[in-house]
Amino acid sequence: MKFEIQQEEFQKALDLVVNVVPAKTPMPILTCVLMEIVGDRLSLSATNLENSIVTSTDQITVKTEGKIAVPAGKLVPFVRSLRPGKVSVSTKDQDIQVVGGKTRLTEKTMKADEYPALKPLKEKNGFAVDGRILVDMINDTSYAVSRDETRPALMGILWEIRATELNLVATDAHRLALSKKAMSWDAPGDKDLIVRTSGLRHLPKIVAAMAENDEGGHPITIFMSDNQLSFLCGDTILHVQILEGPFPDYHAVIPSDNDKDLTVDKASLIQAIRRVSITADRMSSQIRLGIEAGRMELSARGTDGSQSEDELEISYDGEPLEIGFNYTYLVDILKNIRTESVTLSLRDAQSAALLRPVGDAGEETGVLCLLMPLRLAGE
Amino acid sequence: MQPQSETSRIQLLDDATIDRIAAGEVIERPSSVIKELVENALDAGAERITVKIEDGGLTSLSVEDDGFGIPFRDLPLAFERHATSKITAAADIMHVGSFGFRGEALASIAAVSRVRCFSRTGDEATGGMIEIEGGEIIRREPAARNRGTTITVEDLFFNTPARRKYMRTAQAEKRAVMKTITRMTLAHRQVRWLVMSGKDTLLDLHPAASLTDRAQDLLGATTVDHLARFSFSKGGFRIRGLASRPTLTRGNREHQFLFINRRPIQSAALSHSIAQAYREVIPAGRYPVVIAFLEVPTGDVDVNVHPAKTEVRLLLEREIFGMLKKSLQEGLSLRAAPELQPWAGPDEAQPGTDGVRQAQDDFLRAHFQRGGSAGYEYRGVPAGQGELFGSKAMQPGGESSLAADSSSTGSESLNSSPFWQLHRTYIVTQIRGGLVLIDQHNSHERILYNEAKRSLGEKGLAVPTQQLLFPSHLDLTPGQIQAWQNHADQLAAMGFSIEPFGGQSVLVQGLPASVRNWNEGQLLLDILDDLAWDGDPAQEDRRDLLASFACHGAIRAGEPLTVPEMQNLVDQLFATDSPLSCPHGRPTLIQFSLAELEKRFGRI
Repeated sequence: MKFEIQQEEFQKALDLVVNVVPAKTPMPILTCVLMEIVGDRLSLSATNLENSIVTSTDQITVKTEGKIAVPAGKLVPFVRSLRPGKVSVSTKDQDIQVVGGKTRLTEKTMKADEYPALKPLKEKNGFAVDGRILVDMINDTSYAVSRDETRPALMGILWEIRATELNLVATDAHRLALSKKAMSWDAPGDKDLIVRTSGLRHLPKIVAAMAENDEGGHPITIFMSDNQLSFLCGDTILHVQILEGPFPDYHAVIPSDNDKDLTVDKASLIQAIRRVSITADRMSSQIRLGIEAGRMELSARGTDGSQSEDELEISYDGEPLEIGFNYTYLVDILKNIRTESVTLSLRDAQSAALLRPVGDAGEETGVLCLLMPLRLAGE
Repeated sequence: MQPQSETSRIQLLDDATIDRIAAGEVIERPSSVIKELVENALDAGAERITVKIEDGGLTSLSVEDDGFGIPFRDLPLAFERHATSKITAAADIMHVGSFGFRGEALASIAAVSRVRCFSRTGDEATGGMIEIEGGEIIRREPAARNRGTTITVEDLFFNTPARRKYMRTAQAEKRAVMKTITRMTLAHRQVRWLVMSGKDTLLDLHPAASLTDRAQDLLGATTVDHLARFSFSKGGFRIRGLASRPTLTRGNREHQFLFINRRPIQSAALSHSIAQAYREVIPAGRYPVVIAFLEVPTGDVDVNVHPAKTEVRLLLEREIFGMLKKSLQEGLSLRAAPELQPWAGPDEAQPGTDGVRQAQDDFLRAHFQRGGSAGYEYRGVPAGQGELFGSKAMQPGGESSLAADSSSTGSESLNSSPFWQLHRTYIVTQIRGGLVLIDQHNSHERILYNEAKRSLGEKGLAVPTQQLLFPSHLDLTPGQIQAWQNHADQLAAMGFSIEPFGGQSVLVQGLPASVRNWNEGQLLLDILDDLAWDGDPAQEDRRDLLASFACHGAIRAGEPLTVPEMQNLVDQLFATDSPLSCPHGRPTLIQFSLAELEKRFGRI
């Protein structure tokens, strides 16, 4: 294999795929990037067996075709360190040589045949969607996934694909985030999939690297197969593993009878929580919100007797209520809300709280978060 | 030992003494009496077996069956040593299909207790009874009874006080009895079992059509959902049974049931073979649920190693070892499923913490590059390689440039003291005048223990309960139900919100806020297992409950921790009143003083 490529182009392609290269793996071949030239295109692939990224470019000068697996460990930092300009890549026996100007890297390659084969896409069943909408929806939900490896399904994001709608849901059994968007697309019927979150987290970077189309959109195409969801974004394809369910029935836990609605400035609430959390009990991370007409009192009491309070103005005229939360969950949700105001809907100290971002004009954003309270025993 | 006096001469022991010595071999405690009596009942073809115990069987125990019965004229003979209906010559021993054959069980029991036996065979018009005390026949007379045998054993070891002293509490004996009977009910599903302790019904089992049905009675539907069948046969050997997928594990081996030719056995080799089969797919210190029936040609197994027959000697142990392991691995696909691959450490799945951990790993890599520990072996390169050795990433807890969004909020204000996690087990940190190595499991155990103890002791300090979005629905075993009922108040004070949900089920609505390892209810099941069959909670039991909660709820070795988590753990540990040891007495930390280090480096 032998080709020439501009340094910027080479680095951009490597940067796209290298993120899935596993840092630790029992299979050494997975530490490689697979490089292949067919015709006048160079394609680069990387996989950790769960998620895979393939990108390709024709901005190269092909001397001879070929297929090699190169450990990413030295290749990627080396290419990044090169000055802009022409880079030539060639192989000799088991070695690859990368030359940019007077700088040269020689590295052993591994057997390309041992690299796990990626399934080609079936072009027929794809459907188009704007990538930025998906990126927003993933950002609105992914923080709420579980990190508990004993419940793999909760480590993924549920995709409810409908004819005119897409719902993304993530939960760790204490909190839940839902993003609902109307879609005008050609989705092939109703489908519920649990998609590996670690894979979806690559999508923002890939979409950001895409060229915009004439209308400023980022058109991407989604392909569904039995065990993966694939995103074709320009010259790059991201394959993400589909996890086995069941996903808990989240519809049943979204409360419909929370009657105490209040609106609060998000930034002020986060700051107030941070202030009182200093005295929160380390084990439970509990803070209390006391709500009454026009004001919210936040307080936290440590087991050592220390205590702190703070107060916020809120728009509320209902019954008073006192409710406890794990403040780390609450801050987590608030930080991931993209609007400046947020509404809280509560019922009582034992029932789930609903948080919704509110747009400047008070419009719904389709995003909904749920948080279970932290209850003192005996209350 | 006292030197023997000159007058003591070698002489033959009288029969009563021989019987008492021999009894100690077969009869160790009430559960071994029950095992012998139930085996006799099974050998007699019983379809219905009722076991009753008082005070764990120490005061009284009885086994009633509807089997063949013993003819009236044979009643005294039944309690003679080496009287048995099961073999007639030594050669038969290697081909025993029945459970008993040594002919010493009844004689041994009768030698050390007060025994009453009522029995009638199908042919007799009336039955008979015999009463024996310390091996002496006291009474023998005709008595009315349905077909079958009832043997009542009272005041076990009344005439061997030394042995009696070794009996444990009634509760411990009851637990041992339940363990013995549970094993037998698994192997004999055709039998209708009833087990009573005083007035309480402990087990009431109808004949079960399949092993799965019986397992459901004993282990609960939740557990059974996680079980898969496995089977294997080769030559005259056959292995079949049920075993849990790696999604379900227990904190001890209590739920591993091994049978050879339907005889419950213990075998370190076979237990080890199970551990080997599950190695790398379940965490260390966790055990799968396994019910395995091995059928081996009767000539290949020697059950006559010990009178109690729970230890067996297998002629082809290594082959059987391999077969069990293979049958489990194949039956449960322990090697095939993708989620069961050896865990290679955190990948890009955890943004926010990776930067920090990466920096840690890099630090260790730089310092221990030749170290053979797989955990820190240098393989591949993540994104952002160029920045990793920069000063920013090297600072633990600093906002790493790799972290897309930080999931660990709230504890941003870290002090400058560094924390490193070694081998995902130990935390290293600097203290004034030296460094400490902290065991993450032991220290979290101490923290949980003290917190739960405080919440039980003082009313105002109840632990907050984190309500669950999806309440956990758990099916309990009979033993777990009893443990829950006995400890309901304490569990509530500790922060568990548990409600009955009909039958053997409960619904868990909330958990102690500090619990890390809920694992869909596994934590509670483990705690209840530890307390199963215990009586009312005394002060001592409360300690058991607390220790069990702390042990099962604590962070395990092997769990990755973020820097804020480590800092939190260390701070909490030093806030407890006894930070230097875990509730079991193991140390939580090891300290190295600067003076010691300086000495070892030859500086002073």
